[in-house]
Amino acid sequence: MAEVEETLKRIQAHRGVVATMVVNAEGIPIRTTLDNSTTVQYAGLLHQLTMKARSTVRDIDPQNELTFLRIRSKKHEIMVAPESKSILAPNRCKKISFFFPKN
Amino acid sequence: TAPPRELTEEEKQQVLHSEEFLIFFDRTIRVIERALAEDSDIFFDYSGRDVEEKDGDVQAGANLSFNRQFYDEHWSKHRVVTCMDWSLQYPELMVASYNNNEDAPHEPDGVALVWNMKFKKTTPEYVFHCQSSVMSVCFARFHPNLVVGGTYSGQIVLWDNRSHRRTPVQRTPLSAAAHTHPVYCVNVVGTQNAHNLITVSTDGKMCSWSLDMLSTPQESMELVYNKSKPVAVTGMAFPTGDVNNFVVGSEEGTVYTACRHGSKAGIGEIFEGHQGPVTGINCHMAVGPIDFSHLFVTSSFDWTVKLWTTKHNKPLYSFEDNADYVYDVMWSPVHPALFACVDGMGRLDLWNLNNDTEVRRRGGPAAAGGGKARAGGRAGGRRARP
Repeated sequence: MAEVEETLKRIQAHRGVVATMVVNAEGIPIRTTLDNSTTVQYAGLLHQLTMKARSTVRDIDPQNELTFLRIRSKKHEIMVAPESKSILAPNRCKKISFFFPKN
Repeated sequence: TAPPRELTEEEKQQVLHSEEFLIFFDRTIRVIERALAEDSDIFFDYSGRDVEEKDGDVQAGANLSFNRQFYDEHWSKHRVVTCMDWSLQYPELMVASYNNNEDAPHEPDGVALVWNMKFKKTTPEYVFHCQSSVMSVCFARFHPNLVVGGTYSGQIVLWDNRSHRRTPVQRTPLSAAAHTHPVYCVNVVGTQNAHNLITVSTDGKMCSWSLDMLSTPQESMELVYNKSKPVAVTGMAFPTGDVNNFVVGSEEGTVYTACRHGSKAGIGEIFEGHQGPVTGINCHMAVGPIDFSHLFVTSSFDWTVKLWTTKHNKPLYSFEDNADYVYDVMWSPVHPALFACVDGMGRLDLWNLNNDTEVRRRGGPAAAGGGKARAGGRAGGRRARP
């Protein structure tokens, strides 16, 4: 268990990483390095976006599924790694999101 | 949408401990770490258009990063860096000269330290000192073991790194035959088989020496303009490849062309433009298909850097971006359009004449007091040293 915390710390310490979050299926934060209100905002927005991305991929090809989501903006890049198990119901996913500045 | 409910710390721990999560986490972390390690910028615009759009100040400061600081608790403390030079034989070696430490009157007034950039050691490779503050220093070209210092007393000193001594192995006499005023310019000019040490003091006296014998100068000349008063020389520079013609900057802010030999030996033309003492003068260095050796830059207490050609007695251009005394200016030895200057605020600026605007800037403290800028062999890009 300490390993998870340590791994998250290591990721957070990586050059360029601004914030790290672990969020559950409903978009509720489990671990975060941001303050509460920002966390809630990001978690909510990204949850919706990830759901949309996931359904987009499925709609195009029902055999396919979303594996990774990267949002590149002028200032940052957001990486979302969703849980993807084909047998799971859509709302059982866990996510890790990372934000880091553009190179 | 309603704000999501919060989980208690217990519930969070439950999730983090669950088998499901640990499997997911283990797998996902690998992917994330690989993605984070990716370095390439897929958005890079080779046309430079995206950089052009940014405000001048925003693009500046992005590229220069502070590399190292060379400081010795014993020998650098409370001393001002007066000059710097790079070894041609070993590009990682540089020498810096220092004036006196007022807080330590029993210590030698003049110090020259040879620093090594290749290794992370915090102490100098060689420590040299002498009795009078060293105002100028250079590695003796064609004599890789020798370091030449021009001092405040007018004495020229020679240190040898083969000797265990920290004091000079040779000194010029303190007589009217040599210099009796501070020497701000020392330079070895010529070729392997025919070279001289040229020194100029602030009373306008110019001497030419053989490094084997510093007891008397081979030649000496007074640099006088228009047969009237001598020029108070603060800097001297020879165009690349020239051993006879040179340019000097003076305390009055005037710049002169001059030559060592010939019917017109001595000061030639007067170049006016600066409104304060000239602190640095440097001739174009980068060698290439086009000959730019007639170009030189000067820095001054008048807050400006000026670009000149030896063919015309007015500046080609005046760079007026500084808000303090500009202490030194130097061309890049490799990039024909690049030069660096440093000012009293500790600001180091790189100018790229191809861009017509200031490219990079690094704020923050440079050498305490007046910093001398010597763009080293790698100054074309990332590491210009204040």
